[in-house]
Amino acid sequence: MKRFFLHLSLSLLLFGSLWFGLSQINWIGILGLDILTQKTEQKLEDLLWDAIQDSEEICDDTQANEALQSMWTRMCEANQLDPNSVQVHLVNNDEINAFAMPGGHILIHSGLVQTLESPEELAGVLGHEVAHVQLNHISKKLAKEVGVSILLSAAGGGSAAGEAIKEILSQLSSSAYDRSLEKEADLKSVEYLKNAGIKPSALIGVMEKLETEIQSDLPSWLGSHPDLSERKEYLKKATENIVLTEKPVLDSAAWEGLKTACD
Amino acid sequence: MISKTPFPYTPQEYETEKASNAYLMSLVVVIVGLPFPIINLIATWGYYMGQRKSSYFVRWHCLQALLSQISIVLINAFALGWTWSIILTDRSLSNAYLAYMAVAILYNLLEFAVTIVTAIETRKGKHLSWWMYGPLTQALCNPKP
Repeated sequence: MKRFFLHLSLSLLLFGSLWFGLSQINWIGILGLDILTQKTEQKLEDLLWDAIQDSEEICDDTQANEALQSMWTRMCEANQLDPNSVQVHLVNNDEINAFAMPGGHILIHSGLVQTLESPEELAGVLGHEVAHVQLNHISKKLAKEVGVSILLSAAGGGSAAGEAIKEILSQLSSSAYDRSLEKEADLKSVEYLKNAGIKPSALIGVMEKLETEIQSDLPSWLGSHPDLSERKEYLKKATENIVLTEKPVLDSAAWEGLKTACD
Repeated sequence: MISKTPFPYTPQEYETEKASNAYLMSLVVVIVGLPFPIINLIATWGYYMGQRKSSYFVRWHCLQALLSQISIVLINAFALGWTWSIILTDRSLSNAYLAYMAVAILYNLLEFAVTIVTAIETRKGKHLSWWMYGPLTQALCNPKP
């Protein structure tokens, strides 16, 4: 057995040294994998955004966009986020929905804004979607739900690209993330809101309010998200001890303007 | 990596065949075992269990073939887990991952070659003891069944 342990130690040492030694080589650079990934991602982002612009009506109301931008800027400054990492867009669409896309585009449907009661609730939704962007959930979801081959086919152009783009957009806008990712995004949103002086319990309000919408079988933002009651529970736990000095997110005129911006 | 060592007796034809088959078993299942590394271990364990009442020579080589699967299973399982984590989570492709895969492939090829050589030599009645697994097999395998 003594010889075995000697051999085992030497084998582990050899394996570890070889691994460590080879790790020092910049394989990613040599094989050009970084360029490939960045190029593919960039192309995919552009193609998806073009498809959205073709299929959705983005509201160009200046005041509404300024209101959304001010909400994002506040969240951004309070949480040391890169202001250019996200672009928030208001979409003229009655469906109660909001979703994040590759490239940091967050689309908020006017139907959702009209359903919400306060700008704090909208900030909660925004924080949740920002969290999906910041935590890199979108590429994880796409790789898992759509598949790497479809992503590459979409980015590669050609006849199959159109269908692939549709498939990706459908996944992004209509289905939920994994339960663990949703929880992560919810809790991150709580953190963003707290740091920005916005009451995080607004997110619970969103869920409670839209629960009735889900029951009425609307294809809603939260309708596709799993286990609403479970999410409310952990959000209550996460927010119950938070004490903060609240600062209004938007004044009532700006909020009303936002709600009617796409009319 | 492998050394020819003396064995207490000269094995007979049927023994060398059975002993050699233990190594072939691990090669046959290698295609299934690459995506599911545990299959290799199960197959060689099954063969070992089937031969546990056989002669010392057969049992010795069945056990060495079985034990030699442990490192390959661990290395390949870790490679598989790492690969899945890159596909399914936000873990990204890294130099450490590519280096690990290179070492893992090298180890697999080496083990594959050594297994073939051992299977051939064992069939000829030669007693080959592997680096690390030879001494372990020697310590664990009882001459009496």
